[in-house]
Amino acid sequence: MSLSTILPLASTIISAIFAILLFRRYAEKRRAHLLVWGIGLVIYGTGTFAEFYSAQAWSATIFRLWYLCGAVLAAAWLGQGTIYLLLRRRGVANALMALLLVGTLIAAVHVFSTPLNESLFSPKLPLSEQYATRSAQGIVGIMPEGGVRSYSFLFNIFGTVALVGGALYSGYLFWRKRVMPNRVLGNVFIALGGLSPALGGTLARIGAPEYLYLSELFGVIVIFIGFLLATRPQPVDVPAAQMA
Amino acid sequence: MSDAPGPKPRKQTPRVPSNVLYERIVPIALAVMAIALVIVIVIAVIGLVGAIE
Repeated sequence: MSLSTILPLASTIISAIFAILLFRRYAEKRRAHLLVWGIGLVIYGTGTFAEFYSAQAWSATIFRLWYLCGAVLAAAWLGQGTIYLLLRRRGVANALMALLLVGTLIAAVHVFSTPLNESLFSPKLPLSEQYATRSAQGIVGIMPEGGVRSYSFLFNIFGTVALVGGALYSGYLFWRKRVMPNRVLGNVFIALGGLSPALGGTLARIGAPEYLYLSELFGVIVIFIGFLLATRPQPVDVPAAQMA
Repeated sequence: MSDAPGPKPRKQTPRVPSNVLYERIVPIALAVMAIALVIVIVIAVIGLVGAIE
């Protein structure tokens, strides 16, 4: 098996396990951020599954799902989960959620109505290396320029700022107050994991697509570790005088 | 009455023991990632403007 098969398959399996864990926690605690993160992980895993599938065969629907989930929606939904976690004003979080839902619908319609150059597909190459048409560089890819590609960055900037910025902000607050070291470390990991696919996607956008699959696997592993660290119950050192 | 339950102990927030490594590395890591975040966003915005794509 090639790396184009192994890396996205591993990302898909880890995303699925992570999503199940989040949905189970949501069933216990009924916190909105857990549900939205869980949906974000399902979207993330759908994108990586599409990469795995496309290393075996062509499917226009799978390709469209790859672009919609992986390149447009995954970061935004994960970031929206962080918005629910951090924003105390529920009305603002709900308004952003409504915007995201409308944006998701528009992007889905747009992606599924975009004409594709199917004849250019090769299962031997990662999708990230063959999807983009760049007329300025004389490159013809599976997807034309413009359309959803002209605004997918909006979703990614929103999602990355919310997910990574939120984790950095939380980590800094806990660090400054010198409390909850597990949450400090957990947030450092979440920020690092969030940056990884953002960087991979940015590199793919500017013409270095070969790192995308690796950055996605690294990202989901590190975010998962961060989540486990941040939610791990931590023993409290009770002063001896209080124990007496 | 001597075995009556006492007041319930208050839940304590875990505090970080003094640790030079933790105090130095965490802020550096946070700052480096904040800079990386800004760089990623700037590149994405440049891509939007069309300077790259």
